Amino acid sequence: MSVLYKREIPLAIFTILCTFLIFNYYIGTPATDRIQSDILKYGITISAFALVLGTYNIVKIHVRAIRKRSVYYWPLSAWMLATMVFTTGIGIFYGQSHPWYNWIYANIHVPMGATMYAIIAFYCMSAAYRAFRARTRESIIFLLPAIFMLMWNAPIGEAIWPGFKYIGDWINNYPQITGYRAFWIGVGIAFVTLTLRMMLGKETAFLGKESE
Amino acid sequence: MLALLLITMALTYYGMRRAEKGKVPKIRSMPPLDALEEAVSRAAEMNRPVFFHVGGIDLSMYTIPALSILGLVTELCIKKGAHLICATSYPIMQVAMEDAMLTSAIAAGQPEYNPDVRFYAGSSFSYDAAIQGFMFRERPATHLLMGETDCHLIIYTETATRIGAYQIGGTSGTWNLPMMFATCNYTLIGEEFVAAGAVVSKDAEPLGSLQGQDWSKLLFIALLLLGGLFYQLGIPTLNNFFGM
Repeated sequence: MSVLYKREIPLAIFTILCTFLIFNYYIGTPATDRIQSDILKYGITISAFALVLGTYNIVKIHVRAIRKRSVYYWPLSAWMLATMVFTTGIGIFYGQSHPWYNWIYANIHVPMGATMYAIIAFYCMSAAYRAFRARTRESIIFLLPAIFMLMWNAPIGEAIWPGFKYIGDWINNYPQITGYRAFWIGVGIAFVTLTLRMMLGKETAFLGKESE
Repeated sequence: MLALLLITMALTYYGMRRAEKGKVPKIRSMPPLDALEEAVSRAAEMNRPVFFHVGGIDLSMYTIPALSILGLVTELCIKKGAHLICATSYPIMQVAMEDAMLTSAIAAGQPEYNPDVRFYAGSSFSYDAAIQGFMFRERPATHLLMGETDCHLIIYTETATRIGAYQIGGTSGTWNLPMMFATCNYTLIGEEFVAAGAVVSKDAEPLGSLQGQDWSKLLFIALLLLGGLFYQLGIPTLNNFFGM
């Protein structure tokens, strides 16, 4: 019964829904489109319920850190829990349009997100510095198109040498697009194969424990 | 296009049946998967954790192969005595990761295994900050990033580089592939990543499906060549058939 409950029934639900969604994509009608829309809504609803699990996990980890004082950063755990309870409380009891909620979003969440986004530029530079050192023949092959693409994108590139524009255009429109499309055709076929393996129960990592 | 999808599925199914009857195809070794053992051993020797995550993405076609790889990594960590830590920003993914780890632990004879999966904030930049903080505090010796994420990838991998972590990446998308190449020691690319589940399982039927996949690819290449030829000759038959 356990195997049937934990694996066979979820697998049957997955296979039926997957087959329906695939066929509806190609030969759907307005009626089946509505059913598809409902199925996708169920997915969103289930995800919202699953958020409780995530919250439980966060609380468990940080409460443990505070109780045991096992890590030097336990005050940060306390701060994290306090801010989480405060923000969630305002959102639940006063709604997302409350001025306090908006203040937290506009003055804490957005600037911190923008800070993280800004860091990306510096990390790209350090990664590019290491990747583009011409130590081997392969890295030179990697480096040359990168230089042309960099100069093609940078406004100063064309001012230095107009040829950067033409070479950049050619690299972007031919080798890049060719590789990109070949990549996605390969991945598309691989996804079809993966879906079939999942529908036949041959790829079951997403179904969890086999026995208890 | 539905016809092509059905043909691809039929070829895959035929490959699986063929393998079941004993004609198991030989799959080339994948250096990133081979390097997993070395990566886990390194962490065990340094007495530092192995860190596995899929980036800021939920359970989807982009992350299901990662769960198979996670199963293998869990097995290796149990065998080598390394502490495996996983992180995700989606609660459904958290449960799926815990289940994949428990399944492997049960198979490895450790049903009492306690998976260490951490749920960090659902917002992508909050998740980035949490991962950065985690890496600097707990300094994992190995960073395994198997999944899909866009520009955020460089934050994870560059932070891992700064703490001297050994990195193996895997993705079935193109958005972060150049960054992954530039920063990781090994990378599973595109269909290699999707096929990893079959390769890791070592079972006949999943391996046979990869042969069916190769036959489908040959069919697509033939169609592309024919389409190009017909187009040059001014015969629109094939292009019209595919609605191009």
